[in-house]
Amino acid sequence: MTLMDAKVNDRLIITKVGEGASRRRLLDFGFTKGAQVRVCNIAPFGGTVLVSIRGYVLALREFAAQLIEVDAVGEDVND
Amino acid sequence: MTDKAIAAKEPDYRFTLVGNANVGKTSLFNAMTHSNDHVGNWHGVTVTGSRKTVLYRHKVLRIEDLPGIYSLSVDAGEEVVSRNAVQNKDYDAIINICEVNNLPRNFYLTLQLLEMRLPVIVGINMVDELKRLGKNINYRYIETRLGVPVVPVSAKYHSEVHMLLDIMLDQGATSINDSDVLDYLDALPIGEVSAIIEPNARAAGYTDMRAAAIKVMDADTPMLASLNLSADQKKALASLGDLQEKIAAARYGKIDSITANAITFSVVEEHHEMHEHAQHHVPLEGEDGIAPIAEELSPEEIKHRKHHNKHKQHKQAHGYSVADKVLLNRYAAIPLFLLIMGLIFLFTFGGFAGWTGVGGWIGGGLDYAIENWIHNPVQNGLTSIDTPAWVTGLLCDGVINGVGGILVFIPQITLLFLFLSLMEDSGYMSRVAFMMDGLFRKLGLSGKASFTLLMGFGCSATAVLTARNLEDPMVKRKTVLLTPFMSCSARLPVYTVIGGFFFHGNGLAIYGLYLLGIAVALLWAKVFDMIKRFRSDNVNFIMEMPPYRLPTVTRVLRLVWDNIKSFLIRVGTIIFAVNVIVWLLSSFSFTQGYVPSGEGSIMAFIAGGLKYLFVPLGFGDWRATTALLSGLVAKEVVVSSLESLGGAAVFSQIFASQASAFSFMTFVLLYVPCVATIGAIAREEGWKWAWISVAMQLGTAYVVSLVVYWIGYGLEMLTVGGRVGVILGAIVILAAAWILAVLIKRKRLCIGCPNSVACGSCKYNKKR
Repeated sequence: MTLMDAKVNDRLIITKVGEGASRRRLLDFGFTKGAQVRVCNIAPFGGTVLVSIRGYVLALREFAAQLIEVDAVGEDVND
Repeated sequence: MTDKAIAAKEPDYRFTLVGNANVGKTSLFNAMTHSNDHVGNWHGVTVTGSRKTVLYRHKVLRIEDLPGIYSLSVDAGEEVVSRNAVQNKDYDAIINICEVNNLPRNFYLTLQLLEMRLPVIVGINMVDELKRLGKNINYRYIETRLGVPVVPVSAKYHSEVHMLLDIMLDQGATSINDSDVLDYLDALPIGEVSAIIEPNARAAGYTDMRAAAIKVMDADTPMLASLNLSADQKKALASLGDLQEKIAAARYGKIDSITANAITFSVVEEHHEMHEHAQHHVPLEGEDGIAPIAEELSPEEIKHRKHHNKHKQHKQAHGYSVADKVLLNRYAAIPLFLLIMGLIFLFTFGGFAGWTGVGGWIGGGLDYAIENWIHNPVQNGLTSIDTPAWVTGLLCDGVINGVGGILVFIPQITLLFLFLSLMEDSGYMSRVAFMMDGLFRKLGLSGKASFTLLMGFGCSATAVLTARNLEDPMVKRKTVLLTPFMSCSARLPVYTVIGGFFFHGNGLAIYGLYLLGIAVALLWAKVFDMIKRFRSDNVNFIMEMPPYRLPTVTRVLRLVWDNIKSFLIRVGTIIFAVNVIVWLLSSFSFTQGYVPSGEGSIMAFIAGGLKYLFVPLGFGDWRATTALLSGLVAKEVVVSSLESLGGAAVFSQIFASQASAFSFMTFVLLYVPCVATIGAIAREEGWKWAWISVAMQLGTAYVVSLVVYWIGYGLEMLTVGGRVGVILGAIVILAAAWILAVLIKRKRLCIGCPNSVACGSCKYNKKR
């Protein structure tokens, strides 16, 4: 599944960042294979998500978010 | 030595501040150079580089501030400015500013700088925020891992800034030894890549093959363009796998190994932790106060430490706090935003139940003071010593009333600026961009445009310049064209003076104008979206959420003072000059000399020709035309011109009815904001677009005022009950039309969509 299909507060692991205009940006920002991400919030009008990665929070549009393929991991032990 | 003399000297050291957006580069720059450049809790406040030369410990330092940059491989926007500055090497050392709360992503750029063998000093900013959380940064440990000087600083504290300056001077000229630091490159196919590209790279003039290979792996556009690789070479590169992913992952792997041990807990916190984890017996810090580095620890200890750090990190989710759960709640976010904006406007302007707002209240006091303590004594004094009537008129009507009429708006304008900057500094503005993105996308804009548009409430000219951090050129162009419709603070005096006279301070008149401005801007956005050449589908929108921060008192006070100062300068120079010219032209005739009433004056002659244009809009009066003409220079002048042409006493002569007054205010809202804004638009988009925007504003102002006047005229003919009926009827018809439109659209575009609430944004939408 892609980041766009994830639910709020799911903990996810990135499996792949697909080809697309935003790819370089996403890689620079730390969306690399194996990195943990979490969807924090979905914007009121939809189409834009808040994602937490590597200890900071980023707003992503669907266009970029759907390039990111993820797998669900269980609840984080530290929570 | 004066600032000018220092600036003229050849610098002993040249330093360039490089770092991610919103890490406090400009704050540090200001602290280092004692300047006052605009900073904010928003990415991309700095849109061009700025340089300043200062004297420090008998050395001349030239310090350069650059826009934020996340990676050396960038294609567009203000980041290119920074990338080029980094590559042109017009410096002795790069001061790479990192933010302590966000080390991984900041170090990504640091590693890229080190890979290019650039002289780097790392400054880790905002360590005060870390200390408040009871944590310490092991900068010496980071120093050993990065191989370059690392200095913890807080831009807020001058002592620490001086420490950074000292280290810059001591280390400025030394370069680094990077063999151990960049060990992660060994696992990458750098050798293979350089073998493939070497002939082309040599031909293109590159000497550092490793740097060239890294750039190729990063798929750096200028590098690939200059190499001009053949199809076979490209194929050979592709066979090496996903190079871009590999190098990004390798850098982050290195970074993870550094940051895992970079932050520890201070003694107080440690004590608390010892109780919590009594069974572990692992020292959190070494005996010298520095945490032992990872290699010295047993695997079990490392595990504990990692667990420990993780535990604390989750307690403090950075950039997404509890406040966001409420402020960004899917259903509450927009109403809360409107409520906040409403409260800001209510506090500043008032307008309900006799409440004039704090700004209006202070302004009223100023008005009283100017009238009774300056205007009246001067007039009486001049009259008693038989000064010629025209001199008294020039001083009292032209200067004191004209300029004074503007001065009383200082409190309101300052308050508005203050609230806008509080929104920006606190980090709320970024949330607004996020929550509005869905709406703005439907209009072919980006959520980031909301920043520029909101700043447009303050000053159109400066707001237009902030559009520069919109990456998409079309989105940027549209935002620049729409910003002047947002009612800037200079238009406010017009609403207050004329609205106050004709609508008895009823706030609805003012708020209605603000909303009208927004509506016109959104309508134009929709129009642009329908024109093919303005289309910008699928715009990349990636934006960082900064953490909420409390603005400091000194910063707020300085901002207020800066605003008052620049306003006073405007009043004292351009507004004063235009006023005197307008007064002279409208008080003297070609033949009769001084004409106090202005009838038959030179201005009446000039404006009298143009006034027929405005007859259909309801204000075909030469004084209204004069005010509009002079208002092209700056909108405040509209009011000061009207004041010096007779003020409230002649308002009922100029405007026949409430409808014509409202039509005039609408025209002021929508026509050309000021010369400075046109200049700013020309700077961003070129003169062609500046003229297009002028035509757009004049046309819109004319048409909308015409409509507003005739609707108002019609309503004035009706009884109170009739008006209510018409308004209710219009609302019902509009609502029905809207519901119908939504229904038709849903049926046509999103077949099979189960989620009708988020219509237009879900995946079914793609099927259209």
